[in-house]
Amino acid sequence: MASNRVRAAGALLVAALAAGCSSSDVAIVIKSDPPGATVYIDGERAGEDGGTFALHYGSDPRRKVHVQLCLRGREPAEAMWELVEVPSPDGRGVREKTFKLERVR
Amino acid sequence: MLRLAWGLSLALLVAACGAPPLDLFNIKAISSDSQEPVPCAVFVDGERQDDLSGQPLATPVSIAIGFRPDPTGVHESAGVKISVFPMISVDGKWKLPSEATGDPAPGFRFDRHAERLIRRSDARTQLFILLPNGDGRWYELPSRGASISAGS
Repeated sequence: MASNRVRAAGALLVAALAAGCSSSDVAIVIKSDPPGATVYIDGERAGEDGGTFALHYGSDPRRKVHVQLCLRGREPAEAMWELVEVPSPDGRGVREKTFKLERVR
Repeated sequence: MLRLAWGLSLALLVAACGAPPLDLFNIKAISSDSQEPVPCAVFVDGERQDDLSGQPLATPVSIAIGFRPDPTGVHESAGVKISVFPMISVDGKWKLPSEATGDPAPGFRFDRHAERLIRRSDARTQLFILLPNGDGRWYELPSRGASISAGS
């Protein structure tokens, strides 16, 4: 009886640890206004606007993922998102964010 | 002799524990127009980062940053302000432009896009996207505690 309890407690502990260590990736569509911007994630070139990008949080949902957009003649735009700050999915279940890039003054 | 070795080891251990742990960050700067790399000097909390010969390090570069924990315990780690200042090439070497010596103005702005507060948990690659300095404007170098006064 006691050994069953120990086993159950052990299984719960392993499950809790696994949940704590599991990686969290979030997919999001990133667009720019006007279109044509290049998207950088955590300082690395990730692709062009309109694409779907993976934000990697690993085991740390408090980590801030840095999204930057860059387009000739426009001010760069950026966001730093913790996992809870990533835009929520819309009615289609798609996360999407449009960044407005102001003209350079 | 053994006592001396133990003493030295203990001193090293105490020194190591007193210093903040270092974290390696890659600092990069690119042009917002061409997206090509822009060589910049790097300042950490207003302090220029130099190589062993005393010349400013040029981006892209990896630098070790020490984050000191907030003594109040409110935050996990204190933030550090990173600034990048565009350099110019003179005789094949990168240098910080100086208005006093008749250098051309920096080719890129030193504005809010050229400074950022980072924390230990932030991305290890920090990219700065710089705007061209079309007006040929001059900017003051970053210094401790100072905020950007022009072009921000």
